[in-house]
Amino acid sequence: MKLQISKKEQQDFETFYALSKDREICFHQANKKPIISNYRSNDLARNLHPGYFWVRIKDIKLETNDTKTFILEADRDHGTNRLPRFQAGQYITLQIPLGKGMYIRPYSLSSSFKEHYQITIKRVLHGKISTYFWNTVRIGDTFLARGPYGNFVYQPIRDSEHIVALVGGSGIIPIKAIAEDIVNNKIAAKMTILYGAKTKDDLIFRTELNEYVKTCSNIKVVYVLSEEKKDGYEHGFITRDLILKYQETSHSYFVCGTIPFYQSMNKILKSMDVPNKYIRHDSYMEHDIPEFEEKFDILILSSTGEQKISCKGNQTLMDAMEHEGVIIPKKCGVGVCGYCRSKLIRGEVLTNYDYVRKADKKHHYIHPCSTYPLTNLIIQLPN
Amino acid sequence: MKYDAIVIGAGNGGLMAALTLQKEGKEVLILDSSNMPGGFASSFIRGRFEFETSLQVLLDYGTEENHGPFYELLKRAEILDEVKLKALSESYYVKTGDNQEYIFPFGQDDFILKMEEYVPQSKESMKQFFELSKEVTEGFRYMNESKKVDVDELKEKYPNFMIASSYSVKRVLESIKMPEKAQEILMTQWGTFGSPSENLSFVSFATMIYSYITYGGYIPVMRSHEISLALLEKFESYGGSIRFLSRVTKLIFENDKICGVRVNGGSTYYADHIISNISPSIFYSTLLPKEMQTDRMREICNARTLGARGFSIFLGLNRSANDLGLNHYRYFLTNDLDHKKAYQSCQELYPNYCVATVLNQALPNCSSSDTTILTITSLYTSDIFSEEATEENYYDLKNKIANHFIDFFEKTTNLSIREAIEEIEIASPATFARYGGHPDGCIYGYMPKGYDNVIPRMMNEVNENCLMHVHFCGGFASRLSGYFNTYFSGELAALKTLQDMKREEGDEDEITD
Ligand SMILES: Cc1cc2nc3c(=O)[nH]c(=O)nc-3n(C[C@H](O)[C@H](O)[C@H](O)COP(=O)(O)OP(=O)(O)OC[C@H]3O[C@@H](n4cnc5c(N)ncnc54)[C@H](O)[C@@H]3O)c2cc1C
Repeated sequence: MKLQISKKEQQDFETFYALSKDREICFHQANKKPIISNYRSNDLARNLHPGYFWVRIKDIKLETNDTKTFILEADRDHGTNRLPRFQAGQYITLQIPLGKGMYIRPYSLSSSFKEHYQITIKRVLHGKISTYFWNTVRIGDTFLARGPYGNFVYQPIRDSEHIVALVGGSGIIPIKAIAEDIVNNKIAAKMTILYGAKTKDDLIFRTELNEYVKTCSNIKVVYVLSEEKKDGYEHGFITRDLILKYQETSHSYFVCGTIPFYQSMNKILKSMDVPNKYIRHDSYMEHDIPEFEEKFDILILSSTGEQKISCKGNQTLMDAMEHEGVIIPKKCGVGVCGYCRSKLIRGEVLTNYDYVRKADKKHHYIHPCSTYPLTNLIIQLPN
Repeated sequence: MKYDAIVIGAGNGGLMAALTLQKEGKEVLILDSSNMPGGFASSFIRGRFEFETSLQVLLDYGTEENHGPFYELLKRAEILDEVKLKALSESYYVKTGDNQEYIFPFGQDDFILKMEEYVPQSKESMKQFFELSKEVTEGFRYMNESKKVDVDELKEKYPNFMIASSYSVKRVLESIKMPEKAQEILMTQWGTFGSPSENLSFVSFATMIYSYITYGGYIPVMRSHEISLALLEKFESYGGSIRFLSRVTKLIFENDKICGVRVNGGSTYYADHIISNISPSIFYSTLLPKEMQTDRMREICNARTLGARGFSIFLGLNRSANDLGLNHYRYFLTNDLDHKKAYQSCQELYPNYCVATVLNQALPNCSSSDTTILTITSLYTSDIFSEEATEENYYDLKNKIANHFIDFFEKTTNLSIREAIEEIEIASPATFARYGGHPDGCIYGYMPKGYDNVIPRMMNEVNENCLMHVHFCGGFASRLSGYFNTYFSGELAALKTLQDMKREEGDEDEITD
């Protein structure tokens, strides 16, 4: 075939030769103003996800005899003028230098988005960082923060508009933020919170939760005390019967608590045939910690060179690195988000989590925050 | 230590560029701001689903016997056996708001027959279309592969290529008298380019359709992340280095010559040659010291229009594809067969056009049994999203738009998926801006239209080099966006860098002589 588009054949070829000149002419005619360097969507993304920012402890409030709330404000001295917006249920991480170690810990935000953040920390027996927060951190201290992160948020397209929150102990922290958003009409949903604790005095945010119930018909709270009997409170543990007693229609279950709490709630929800879709939970270590204590040598390769550390068989690689002050990217810390994704160059490891990409598995990438050594190792950090 | 070259960005272009150079014995460092290779060519996990971030279909591959340029590229990259690709069984499924349905097979003859069924008397023009597309594809390949294009040879061997590539899709299809309806059915794929038929050069459209229908479409078994990782592994096996979480913030010069880059956090890396996988617009405006920005750089950036911005909804469904009636892999859904109207609707916040893929139709085991991965993607062909979205309304707006597309999908296909949504992730232009770093969440580079179509880009490429020892690759470079194009652009940038290196070595020889 012979294609002809213009009237004269030769003209078609001339059009081809002219393409280059046309382009050049258009370029010459273009304005010579400085090239735009900021685009609205990029600015929006940067404001929502600034990467890192600095916070200062503005206030500290005692919640229960082992829980404190820390109010955080933007640390202008470090160049942070405001804190990024987040979705209720999300967390930030704080970087904590302690001794020769450098620790990054995730903290759920315990109120809905405002000018100041608040995080709530429970003192854990032998917990190095929580004890540090409890004993040492003072008003005015500053931290490098990252985030906000996390998918433990209400998603109206996916979730039922009735939520049952199954909460154990400090699991109330992100749930309280979600409840606050419901009260403030930022989330169009109804929530019944079944909140388990040992005694009445162990309940965190009792005053706030009671206030929510009073002012907002969309929030219901049932306290379940395992070590105290009291009028107006359920006694015992959160059970299938208890859930059935308080839920009305079909629900999304938002589960948050300690590892054993997750395990028992999962069992109950399975027995109730609740589809996966309706079970949301905050990220948690979904596996058991191995028992052996044998020590292994770990050779770490990164942009700053090589470093040798040791790691016990029941210790995560992340944990061992943090003790030695090795800075490694970290978000969730429980194997789910994959931010610490690193390459295993040599050796055998125990990985009990299922959040590694298929191709990553094939090429021996691991998530050090939830990986245990089985032999001496060489690993390559991402940066 | 000083590297021979630094590659900014580990997207398709950057990875391929780095591998090509490293294989030639050069010491290359890749710097990427994220913690993963691949840029848009990646995957992510939510619950029990591993989603593909961008790829709908790989073109230009084919089979061992009948293969296209992508097959050869993988071979040159020495990863042909490392990535497992699966062939699609059907090319397009088109459905309109008024219930017209068009389903196309692979293979030219079958494709033409099918079109004749849908649009009687389209056969002759369709035959001509494929014949022309073949010549255009061959001419384009000739142009791509020759070091210096000999126009006389081009005119002699591929006259139709020269003519067709000077005009828009619309002009060419009209000139071969393709019935309007057949044109519109073909143009339902305008979304692959984000440009309507009156603006897009016939070359881009013809090479795409020709390749797709003759070589078939492919999808990697472990998402595009598998290709990105294979390229990276190969690069590392040749001794190349990569640093993740290293966003390049500044170029460093010595005596007006580029000599390195600085990354966030303050580290500096040195090399005399740079390959940029990021757009000239961002490169010149943010990495280059202000006083070095020239009028030439300004006109090169200011004369362009940004291409389409992406909006994607990733759905993990808790029922099987068959159970849900999702019987096709690639859905082109449009309210109106008139693609110009679809294009215009994409200038508004709630477009009436989307492309959806059901990954399980290509890869039955890509998610656990009785679940489905469905991705709905649409485009913005204007600044509307960035004008409307604010920090305050961002999450609500994303949900509203996603809701619109889910409704649109359900209404147009007459299927119900909403109840089965177990996982959902929504990527807006701001999300793409965050992960790719490109202006305003552009996913296809500069808009291919008029003087900014592929052929004029290629013709003037040399004159548009504004900085010595810097070459561009990726979706904003001369080969447009898309998987093959961006990989190929990386290879080309590497070859140009090698030439620069050789030329200078030659100079040095002269001096020592
Ligand atoms: C939703 C969607 C669907 C698509 N569908 C298809 C399809 O079906 N078929 C097809 O062929 N193509 C498709 N594409 C297009 C294709 O994905 C892209 O054209 C291609 O992946 C772009 O590659 P690139 O080389 O331009 O690099 P990009 O993927 O754009 O990567 C750029 C890299 O640079 C890094 N970077 C940016 N700034 C900096 C900095 N300052 N310092 C260091 N690193 C930096 C980023 O982190 C990123 O890794 C699709 C794209 C999208 C988004």
